[in-house]
Amino acid sequence: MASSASTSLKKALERNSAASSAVWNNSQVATSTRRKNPKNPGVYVVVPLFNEETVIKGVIDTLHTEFDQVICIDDGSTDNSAAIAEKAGATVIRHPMNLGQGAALQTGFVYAKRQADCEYVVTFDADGQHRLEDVLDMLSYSRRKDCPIVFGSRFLDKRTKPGLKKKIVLKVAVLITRVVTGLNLTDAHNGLRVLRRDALEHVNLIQDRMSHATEIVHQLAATKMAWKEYPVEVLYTDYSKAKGQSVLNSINILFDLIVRT
Amino acid sequence: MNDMPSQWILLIALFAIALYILRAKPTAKGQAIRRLVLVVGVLGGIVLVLVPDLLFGTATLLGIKEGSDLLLYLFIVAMMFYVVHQYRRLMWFDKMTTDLAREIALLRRELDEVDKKASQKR
Repeated sequence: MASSASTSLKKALERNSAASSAVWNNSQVATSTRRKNPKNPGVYVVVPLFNEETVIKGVIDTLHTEFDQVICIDDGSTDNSAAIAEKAGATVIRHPMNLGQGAALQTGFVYAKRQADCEYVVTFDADGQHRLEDVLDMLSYSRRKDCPIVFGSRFLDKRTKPGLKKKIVLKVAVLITRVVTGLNLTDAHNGLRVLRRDALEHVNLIQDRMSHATEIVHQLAATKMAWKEYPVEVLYTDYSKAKGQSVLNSINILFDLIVRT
Repeated sequence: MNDMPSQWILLIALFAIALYILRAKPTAKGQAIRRLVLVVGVLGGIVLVLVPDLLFGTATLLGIKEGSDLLLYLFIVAMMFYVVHQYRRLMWFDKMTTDLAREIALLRRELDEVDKKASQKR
C-alpha cells in the first residue's frame, strides 16, 4: 500500500516537473520569437491594475497580440490580480499599498521613461473597456501626423452608449477640464491615451486619486504641443458599469486641482 | 458695516486662512511665523490672566462688547489656521509617501530583473 502510494506520488511529481518544464520551454520559445519578430518595440502599454482578477488576463493577452511591452502597475490589489498578470507575461510593478490610479499611472510613466528604447506610452484601463484596434489607430495617427498627444474620446461618434447618469457625470468632468485646462476636450475621463516620449517628459502626476485625469490634460496642455482627440469605443460591460464615479466627485476634482501640494 | 475695527481684522484673518489653503510648500519662514505667534499667544495669555481688565479694554478698543467675545473670535481664528495647517501638512506627507512607495515599487522591479538576468546566465 505504502509503496504504491509513494510510486503514484513520484509519478505525479514527475508529471508535474515535466509540465512545468514544458511551460518553461514554452516561455523560452515565446521570448525568442518575440525577439525575432518584435511587436511594436518602443511602445509601452501602461495598465493601472487594482482588483481586476476576473478580467486582467484577457486584457493582457489581447494587448500581447500587438505589444511586447505591457506594464501592469498593481496598486495594492487585495485579490490575485498581480499574480495573474505576472503569469500572463506582463511586466508587473507592485505598489506596496493602494495609492490610487493617478499614482499607478505615474509609476508606469517613470518606469517607461527610464527605459532607453521607450518612444511611446499608451495608457489602457485594466477592466477591459478599451479596444485594441483603437490603440493601433491612435498610434498610427500619431506617427502619420507627427502628433505627440492623442486622447481617446467616446463622444466623437455614436458607437458608445453610456447611461444617462454616466453621461451627466462625464459631461460635468468635461466642463471642469475645459475650465481648468483650456483644452476643448469632449471626453475628460477616458483611460485611453497615446503619448509620445517628448510629451511624456512634461507629465508629472501628483494627484493620486481620480483627479489625475484632469491633471494630465492640464500638464499636457501647458506644453503647447499638438494634440488630437481620436474617436474610440468604450465597451460598457456589466462589470465596468458597476463601477464609475458620482457627480459629487467632480467637486473633489475641482478642489484637488485648486489646492495643490 | 459701521466702524468696528474688529470686523476688519476678522475679515483679513479669514482671507489669510483662505490664502493659506492655496499656498504651496511648507517653508522655514512660515514655521518661524507660527512659532512667533505661539510665543506671543502664551505671553499674551499670561498677561491677560494677571491683568484681566486688559481684555475688556482691548475688546472695547476694537469695538467688541465683551472681552469673552474677543477671546472666542481669537480662538476660532487660531483653530481655523491650525486645521488648515494640518491639512496642508497631511497633503505634503501623502505626497512623500507616494513618492517613497513608487521608488520602492520600481526598485523591487529592478531587483527582479537583475535576478532574472543572473539566473539566465547560470
